[in-house]
Amino acid sequence: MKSILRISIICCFLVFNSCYEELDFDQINEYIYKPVITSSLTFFSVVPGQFFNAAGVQETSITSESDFRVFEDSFVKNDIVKIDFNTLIKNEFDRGFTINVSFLDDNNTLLYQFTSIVIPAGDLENTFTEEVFISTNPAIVNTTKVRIRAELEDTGTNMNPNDTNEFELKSSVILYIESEL
Amino acid sequence: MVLQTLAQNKQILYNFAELPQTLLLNPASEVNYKFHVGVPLLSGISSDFGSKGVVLSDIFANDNRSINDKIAEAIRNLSYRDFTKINTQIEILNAGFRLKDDYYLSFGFYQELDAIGYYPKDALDFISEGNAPHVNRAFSVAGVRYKADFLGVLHTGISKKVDDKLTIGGRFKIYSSALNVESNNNTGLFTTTGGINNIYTHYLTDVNLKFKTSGLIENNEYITDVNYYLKNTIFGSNLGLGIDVGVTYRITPQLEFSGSILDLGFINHKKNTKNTSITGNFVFEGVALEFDNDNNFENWDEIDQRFQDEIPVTDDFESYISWRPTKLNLALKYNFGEYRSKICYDNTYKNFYTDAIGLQLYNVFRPLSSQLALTGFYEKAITNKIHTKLTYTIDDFSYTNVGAGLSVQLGNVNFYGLVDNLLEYGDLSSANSASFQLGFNLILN
Repeated sequence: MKSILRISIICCFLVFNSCYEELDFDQINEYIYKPVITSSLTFFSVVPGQFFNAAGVQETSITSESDFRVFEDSFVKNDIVKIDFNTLIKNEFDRGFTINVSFLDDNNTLLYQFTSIVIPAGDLENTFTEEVFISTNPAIVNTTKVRIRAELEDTGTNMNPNDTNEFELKSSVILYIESEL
Repeated sequence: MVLQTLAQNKQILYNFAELPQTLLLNPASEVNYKFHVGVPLLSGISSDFGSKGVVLSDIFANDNRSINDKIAEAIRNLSYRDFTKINTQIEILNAGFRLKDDYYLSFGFYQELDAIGYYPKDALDFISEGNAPHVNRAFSVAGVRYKADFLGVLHTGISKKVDDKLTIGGRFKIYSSALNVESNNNTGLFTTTGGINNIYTHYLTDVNLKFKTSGLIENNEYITDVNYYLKNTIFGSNLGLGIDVGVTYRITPQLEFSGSILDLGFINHKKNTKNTSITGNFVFEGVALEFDNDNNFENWDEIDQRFQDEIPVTDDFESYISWRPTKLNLALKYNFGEYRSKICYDNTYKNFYTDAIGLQLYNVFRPLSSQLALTGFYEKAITNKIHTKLTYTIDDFSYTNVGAGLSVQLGNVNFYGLVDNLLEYGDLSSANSASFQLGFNLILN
């Protein structure tokens, strides 16, 4: 009853070994597939009112921390060679902003930090790209949290808490993966 | 739409040299002997490999080109209709005898291994290139289509010579499936487009994926024992029924029409089944950051949960039916040449012509369309004991498929060997398909 398998093997053997152009199956070991995956990342939109604390005092910065699970996937973690972070920022406020993005692990150890992004007042289309090569920043793949701190430029005057002008941040990531089969 | 496979076109064997195996292609094939028995395990061995869209040498030729370039080119050239298939059949037992003068009863058991997989072009594009170069493109999962079967077929058939012109025949089959895996009729699109709240919005739309398995998984573990599969080809738990019917009609002494419908049947898979389905829709535009606790923005956990809720993966162990691949053969044969006599089962002599030409049409229903093959053939009996056949076939794989067959009878021992795609035999690695059938029989007049 095992003969069908035996025969199948023989047939395959015949098919692959009878007459054929010289084939080199080892080439497959050299195959590297290189998907480039893009994904939206974080986004937010704030109005001046959100910079005022419960006592009605204007804060100079706000901070948000969120978990970051891109590297939970072992495939991404092991085979990523480069990451591009892109931000698209609209600043309708009457003052400039500085955005600081920090990549942290579970113990809040700083693993990587963007160059500060400075957005002048009234800049409605600020684009920024940070390229991170894993070979020179191997720790970044241990990131589990991202902290974004938005710092207001000190103009000496307070904002109007009822102003409806927005500060918007959109972001995406491009993951360059290179993996053997 | 039913994914149908198990479809080796045996155009050379069909109606050839009164071989017992022709009865499996048309139960109304004319045979003129008293008794036959196939040499166990060696009476019918056939194998067939085909790949449409890409051949081995496209990828593995030793041509100093980068493998990445070759694979990229091969994927680029694939269409959603391209596939690869393999089919191997081996007769364990095949015998037959004449019941009364006009009836020939035949029976046997064969095992068959068959697999077909369409190339999921969009998935290959995504894996090799990612979505970044393809913003706004809808990647479809509909290209995920495959079926693989390993089964045993117990069969018995009878042909009746109604009169000098008409022979009819039928065959009853009991299928015992040892393994079936299939996935077909999948839907689902993955699209990345420019977003509103964020740079991109990602959509998973109309996802409906189904994967059926039978005989593969028991108690959530893969069955790895080969003997277990082999045992299940004989009266295992996943049984099915089917029939073949056929007709041969002599329009004039020289012109003959024949036709058959094979494997009209099904298998009911009820033991060791496990089916997985993935359905739903999902939209993702990134993680909204909270600076304001009054707003209910999503964080990663919520997105994870929403993904699981909106695109649930469910398993069930329900029984299901898989349809057998129904095949159609039609042939018109014109006999000519020298008029000879040969001795028949009733010690009478049958006159036959040494030469014949004709046309054969073969059809099997595939998921995307019927797969037709048209064959022209020339048959020549060199002596009463040596028959040859040359075929030229046009099908999905090739417009230049030349095949040849030889059947030789030495005493009571018959040997036949048939090979397809002769023009490509010199370089099989560049052939889109190749097949052969061979076997030994004892035939007694």
